Amino acid sequence: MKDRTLAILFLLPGVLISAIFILLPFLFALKVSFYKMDSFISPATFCGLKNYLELLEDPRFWLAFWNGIIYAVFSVFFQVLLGIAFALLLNEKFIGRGFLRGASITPYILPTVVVALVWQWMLNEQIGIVNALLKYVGFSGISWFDNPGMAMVSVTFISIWAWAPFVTVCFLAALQGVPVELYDAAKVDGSSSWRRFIDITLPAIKPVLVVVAMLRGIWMFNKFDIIWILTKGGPVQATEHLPILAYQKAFGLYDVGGGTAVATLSFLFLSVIIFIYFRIFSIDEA
Amino acid sequence: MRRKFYWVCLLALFAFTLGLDSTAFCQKDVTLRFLNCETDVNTVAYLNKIAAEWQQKTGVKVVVETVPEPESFIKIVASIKAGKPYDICNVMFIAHVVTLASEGHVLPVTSMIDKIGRSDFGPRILFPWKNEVWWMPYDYNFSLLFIRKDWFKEKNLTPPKTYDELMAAAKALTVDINGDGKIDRYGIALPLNRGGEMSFLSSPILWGKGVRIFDDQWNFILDSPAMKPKVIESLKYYRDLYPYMPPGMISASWGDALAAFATEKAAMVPYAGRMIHHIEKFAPHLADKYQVIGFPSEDGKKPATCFGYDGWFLLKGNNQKEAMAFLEWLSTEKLIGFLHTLSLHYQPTRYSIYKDPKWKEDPLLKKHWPAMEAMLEVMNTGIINSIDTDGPSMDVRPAKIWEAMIIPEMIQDVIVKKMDPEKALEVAAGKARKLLAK
Repeated sequence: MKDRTLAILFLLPGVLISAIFILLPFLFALKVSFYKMDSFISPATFCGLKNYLELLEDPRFWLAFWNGIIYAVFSVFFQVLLGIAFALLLNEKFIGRGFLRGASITPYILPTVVVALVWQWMLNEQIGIVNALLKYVGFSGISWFDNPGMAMVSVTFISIWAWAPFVTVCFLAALQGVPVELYDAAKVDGSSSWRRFIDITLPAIKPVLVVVAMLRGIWMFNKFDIIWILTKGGPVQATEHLPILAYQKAFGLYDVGGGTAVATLSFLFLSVIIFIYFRIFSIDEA
Repeated sequence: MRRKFYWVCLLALFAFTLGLDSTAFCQKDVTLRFLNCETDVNTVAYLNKIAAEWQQKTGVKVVVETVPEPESFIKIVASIKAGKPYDICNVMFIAHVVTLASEGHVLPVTSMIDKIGRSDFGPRILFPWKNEVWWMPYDYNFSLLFIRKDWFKEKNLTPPKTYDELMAAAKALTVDINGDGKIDRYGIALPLNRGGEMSFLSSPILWGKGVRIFDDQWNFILDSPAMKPKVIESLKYYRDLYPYMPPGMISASWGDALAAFATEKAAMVPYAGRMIHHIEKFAPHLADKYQVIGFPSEDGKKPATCFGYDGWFLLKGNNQKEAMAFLEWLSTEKLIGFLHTLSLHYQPTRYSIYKDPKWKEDPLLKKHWPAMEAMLEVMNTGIINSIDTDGPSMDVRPAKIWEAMIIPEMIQDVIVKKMDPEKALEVAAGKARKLLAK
């Protein structure tokens, strides 16, 4: 068998699965976004770009868009920052390193619903342990989810807690590949630890950094479950982002067309961002 | 040899076809798919038990599939689109039934209801539409106020019937017990979150004030000259009541409401009958210290409530006759057993059940009978409404108002954003009109 035929045969299952489970649903959603459709069983009426135009004029859409950006940018930034810091720490030699490396991944392997519910109870204003501790040391309790600004801070913080370990593991793996001789040579040259990090570590982990930041950005922008469980997008739409808005429209507000239009615009936005991202940080270079 | 082979194939095909025919017509092979949204462990066990009993009795197999209520409509739609609709279902909103019925997917149960007698059902529970009844209701699920009668007695207070009395009680029962300058116990815990908790548990404040969203011609009237003062007054009332609520009510969940009462953080908490099960399980010492009352109303004569109604309905599948027979059996012979699986939470919709000694036999019902009497009083005399059922008949429009969270957001605008109530109403009405115009 020729190499080319063999390659096609190997690719075929993946392509078929992608076509059936990704491409077809996407095309269906794209088609629906041009229809006025109350539910999946009601008759659909073609309405052209009406769903999109209505969305672009809707302040709720723009608020959800900005909420999504704020949530994604801050949670990815801190996940990466903490991920690198923990990876550097766990890359050092100390007693109990193996145990800590294993334990550090725990938040990531917990199901999201468990993470959300546990934090929800811990931050509960009436009976939560966090406010109880704050009060014990003399502070007043904090309204973790009742205040619009604080609600966004809380969901972002919980997301960082849950997914920073994934970033840690990725960077830790990348750090294993950095030759120790480079650090030894730099030390001999009198380089400070900060310079060693900037000149050796950072370039070495850059390929991982580029990919991890992009993946985490996509995942956080599309993250639905944790915000839905914690706040349902409230209070007063303060944590409502595009996935929640799309779900609300499609399954709550009898506006399947509008919901799929939100999802399509979100997809387009992410596509543009990824395109720009790779223009700046070339994958080859990475 | 080849001819013999062809004959064997032909015979096999014939036998297979006969087999197919027999499965289509033989009662023994009928399987009913029951999408159940009552997730209580006793209820699920009971449904499975009676499903086995029905199979033994009739040969019809009933497969019970249990899902949380918010997921049911999506599953129902998927089953219809897949060409294999569920036979018996629960849904969260009556609007889902009308959506399905308007597309010809629901089998009316009018004859079954008429056989029981429409007068046996309580008010506003049958939701007739186009001269047919489309579902079999089994539970009113009222939102009522659970109050600490011992604390009321301590403060010389009577259970509130008017808005002024409720406010006065909330204020008097918000206390600093240990004298450290901090409040230890709050007057009332009304969930004011952006979700079903507020829409169900805390909305009776609106209904008692006479607030309505739609008139009899489906006009949106929330900001009409007649309704506007009532809505503004209600919003001011929520705002004035807020200082007597424990922290966290803006994001309070079902669990928070239950916990506020069971942990003795609040003197008044709205909930359905499930609160009593929670008390029995987690705070049994409160079993003789609580009282159930309806929400106040303007004149104090009629208690107000919101109902979270539950019922079964039939989809037009391949087994309509069998599904109808099973539902009739379930909602007559097996209904009391079903209601006993979560007594007090499943609040019967039929007057005859309340008189039935077999139903009253349940030990939990006997123990908490005053609570059930209060529920019955609200059913008989109360102002019963909910955001999703407001208007002259069952319809998608009020459900849209519920799902868009317009009412909770209006209240949050006043409390969280400190918006003027008149402005908050204007914003809410704007959102609602835009939504309804779509």
